[in-house]
Amino acid sequence: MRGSLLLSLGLVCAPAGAEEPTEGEALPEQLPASEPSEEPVPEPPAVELESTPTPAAASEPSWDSRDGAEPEPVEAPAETPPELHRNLALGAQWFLVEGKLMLGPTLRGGHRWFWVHAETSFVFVTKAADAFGGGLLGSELGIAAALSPIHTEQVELMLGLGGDFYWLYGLHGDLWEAALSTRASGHFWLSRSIGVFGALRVYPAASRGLELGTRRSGEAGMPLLLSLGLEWRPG
Amino acid sequence: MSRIGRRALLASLIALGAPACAPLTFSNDGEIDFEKYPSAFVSVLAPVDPEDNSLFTDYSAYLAGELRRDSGFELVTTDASRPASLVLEVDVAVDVETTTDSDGRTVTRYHGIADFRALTPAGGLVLGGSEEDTSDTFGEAIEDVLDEVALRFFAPYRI
Repeated sequence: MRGSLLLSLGLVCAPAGAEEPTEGEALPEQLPASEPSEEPVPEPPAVELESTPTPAAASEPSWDSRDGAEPEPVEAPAETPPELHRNLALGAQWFLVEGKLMLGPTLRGGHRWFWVHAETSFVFVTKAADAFGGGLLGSELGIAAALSPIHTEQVELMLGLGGDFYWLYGLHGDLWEAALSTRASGHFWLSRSIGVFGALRVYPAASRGLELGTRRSGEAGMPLLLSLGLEWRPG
Repeated sequence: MSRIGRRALLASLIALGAPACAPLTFSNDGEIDFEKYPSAFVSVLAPVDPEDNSLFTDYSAYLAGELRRDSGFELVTTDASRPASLVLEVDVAVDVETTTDSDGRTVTRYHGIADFRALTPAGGLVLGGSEEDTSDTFGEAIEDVLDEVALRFFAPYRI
């Protein structure tokens, strides 16, 4: 993992480095044998070949390998940095809410530091209220921008700010509630493509009819909304 | 990550999540006290569609229907002879907004404005306000803005 990260850093920070000659190699301009000549050139002795290889010879295996020695492993440059394949994740999450079942799909996209989350969830009432017998109450729609201070191959931690909107169409088609949402989430990749995550959010500001951390009875509870989920990303 | 590590992580998440259910309550306290004012008489004054004078719609009946369905009133009537604890008067105006789009076509939109007053039988103001909405047709503009008025009297809930 460290190797691939270093490779990635190398590709991002110094993309032209792969074309530069390594120590001990000569630049093509410095090679006298690179210019075409009509006169037959006598084959130079091996000692001279080792010190001044022609451009054609430079791309061939080293002389040591011709002598039967194992060639040194050369790390082939990756065609595309791995991160570019992994800037999208699709998931499903379940909110841990008293008396309600909230679940739905999530989508996030971004790269390294900056990510955007989008989600929607159906809100089912599992514990009947006086004004609502139960069933589908509405949907939650959430969108957030997030920064990822920790982002490795297996773990991503994110801090985000966004908005959560609740459309209570089960009660009335024109009823909406909204909240400013601050959230922190941890994403753990169990394999290259499958991961789990947990997200914690609070509502520092919300419309009057949206009460996170207050029970129907008015009793105060935990004002933190936790959700757990599974994620998939293209391998 | 090893298989044991994955299982431990999953178990930890489930263990962490199980007792962590938060209460999330959707509430509407109601803008008026429906126990004090359980019934309403509804009267709507709305303009007639200038493009179709023959079309008369009883918007008082329309608003009464909306209130019967969603409000906290036990009784809603348009019959002035029936006693009610609240009188809901609504004046609706419709502004016609005509614009030209990028293709040179004329686009007409109808902007409805409803001023409402909920009064006691003695004339005391209990709740008043104004609602606005825009629609594609004249009649729709009136109905949509009356829907907004009805929402102000939505039945209280805590879900």
